[in-house]
Amino acid sequence: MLMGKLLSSPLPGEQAIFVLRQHWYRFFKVVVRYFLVAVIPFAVLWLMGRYYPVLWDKLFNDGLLEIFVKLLGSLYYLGVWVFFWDAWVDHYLDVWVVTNLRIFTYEQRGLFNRETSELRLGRVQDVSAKIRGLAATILDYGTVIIQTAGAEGYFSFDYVSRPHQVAEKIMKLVDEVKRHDGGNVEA
Amino acid sequence: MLIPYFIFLAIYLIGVFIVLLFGLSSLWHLLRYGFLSLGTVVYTFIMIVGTVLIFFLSYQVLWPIDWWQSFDVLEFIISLNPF
Repeated sequence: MLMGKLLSSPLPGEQAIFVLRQHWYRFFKVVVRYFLVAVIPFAVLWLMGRYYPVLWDKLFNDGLLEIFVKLLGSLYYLGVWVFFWDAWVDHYLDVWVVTNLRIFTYEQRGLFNRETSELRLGRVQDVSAKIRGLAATILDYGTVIIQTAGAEGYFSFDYVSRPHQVAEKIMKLVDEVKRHDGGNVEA
Repeated sequence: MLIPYFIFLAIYLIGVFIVLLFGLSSLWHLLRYGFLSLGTVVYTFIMIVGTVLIFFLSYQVLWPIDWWQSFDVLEFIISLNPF
């Protein structure tokens, strides 16, 4: 089912070796951001009720302002919830599929903006991985960079779990393809 | 000049419609480009439950308001003057 959905036209003998998604820590940062966005209005209202009770009374006991606050509050939280959902879909739909012949990258960049790239393993020249930062070192995620022989230059995938192992696996697949095709980079 | 309150309700409902349209587009992306798994089903369910909850709470807060009353714009502007 996965192959059928992600690879619309697999080559003969093509098999998915692994599917990569971004590390959960990236989405965790999004969760924290949305949590703050949801909590800050409550904190402001709490501070207002405690230190500026006159303003509080005006906001919640004045007919028109009260209506504005309620309508905007409802719309705000609906917006925060739906945008949070969209952030999850965005995170979920960023996928790298590595097969024994090709690498596919699917990147969702907001609504109605999806980029798909395909790279034949025979065109890969070099694969490297880098881990930068404290969180990345502790949680073992980083960027995998694939240098290609084509005009594209390079492919990179951020927030990959265990990037060094992934780079090593991809390099092994590239070696296999090149050995099988006798060094023909157009394979 | 008198403006009825239900004008604000109408603007609010247009806003809700736009946000929901955005949410539905997002769901469409998930169904079109993703693949069904336990995770997607659970997250979609949580999203729908959250949206229904927000609507329920909004309804509870908004229903007691008399939307047919009106307010005077000039009177309102004068009331904002602190001096």
